[in-house]
Amino acid sequence: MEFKNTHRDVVEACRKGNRQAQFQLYQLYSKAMYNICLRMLNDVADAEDMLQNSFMDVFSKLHYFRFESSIGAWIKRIVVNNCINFLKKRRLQIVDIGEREVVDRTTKKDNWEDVALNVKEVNGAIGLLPDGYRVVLNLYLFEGYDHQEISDILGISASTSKSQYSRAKKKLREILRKKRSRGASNGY
Amino acid sequence: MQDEFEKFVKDNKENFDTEVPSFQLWNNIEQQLNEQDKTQQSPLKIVSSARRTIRMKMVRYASIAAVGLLLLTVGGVIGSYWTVGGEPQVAGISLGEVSDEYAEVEQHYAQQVNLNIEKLKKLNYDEAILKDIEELDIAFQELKQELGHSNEISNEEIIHAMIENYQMKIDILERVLNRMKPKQKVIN
Repeated sequence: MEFKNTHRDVVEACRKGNRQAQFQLYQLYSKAMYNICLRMLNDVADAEDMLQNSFMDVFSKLHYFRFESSIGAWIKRIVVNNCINFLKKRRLQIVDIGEREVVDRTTKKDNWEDVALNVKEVNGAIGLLPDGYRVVLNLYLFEGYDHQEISDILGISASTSKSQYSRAKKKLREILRKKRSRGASNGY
Repeated sequence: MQDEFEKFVKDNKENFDTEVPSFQLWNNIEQQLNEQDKTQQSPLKIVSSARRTIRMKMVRYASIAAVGLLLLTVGGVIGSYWTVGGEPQVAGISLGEVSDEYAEVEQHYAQQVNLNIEKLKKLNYDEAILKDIEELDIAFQELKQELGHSNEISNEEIIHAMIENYQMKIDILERVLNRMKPKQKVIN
């Protein structure tokens, strides 16, 4: 229950248009939200515009916030929705895939032993994923939405979300593996 | 069923937020907010700014009210001898006809006034209070008449006066209701 009231005074002050409180709210969440934008949009300029516009949305919609969730989760939802809308305008397409494929995929565990896992390389590899894969992977893995929620956000079925996710992971592993072998042959 | 990759991301989540938005972004947001404050006066802002002026006026009103009450009772006595037939002319322009925003404001206030009057009527109230409200109603009708006859600049003043008129009614009603509450409890 407590988390819902986190930063309640800041939120109330923001509603009254208090600039200092607005800056405080921005400081609290801008970094996390900026990184979401970067991961989702894969472009610095786009991410900066997105962050700016999203915070303008946050401030203008704040009087609708009812403290039913944490303010952080509420802001995140606005940012994520804005990113999705932006990508949809740029013709983000996630093709619906039948149920059958999903079943045998989820039973198999991917093998990551031969891949070096470090933040920098994983971040770089995520940037190389096609939009559809990247978005689902981000929402599930980084933003912590489950497949049902992702299906609501993206307007796809939950099974499509699942299959997109496992495909995205597979693709990611491929990229990391290739990178590694290339890196090894280059001698670093 | 978490694989190594998922575990890695989960364990290092914070480390993935590597980027920091440029400080210029806040400057942009602040500038946008400033422009918004200047250009669009939302109904809520109109309310709060009008409320500030009303506070000061209330002090004046309190002193006038005593005189007003006296005049009212005297006027009421004289008036009862003078009942001339014929409805008072009610025409002019209402706030709602000026703009949608004012329509919202007007609706909000009219609702508040009616709500408080209803509350008051349920209690053991002093007739003089409703007389006061009626007096303000008459003043309001006059303002309505004036609105539309004049140019835009003085229209603004009239609109302001109309809003103040509403707020006076609400203020009177709320103050009376607040004062009556504890007494009422004793009675019941």
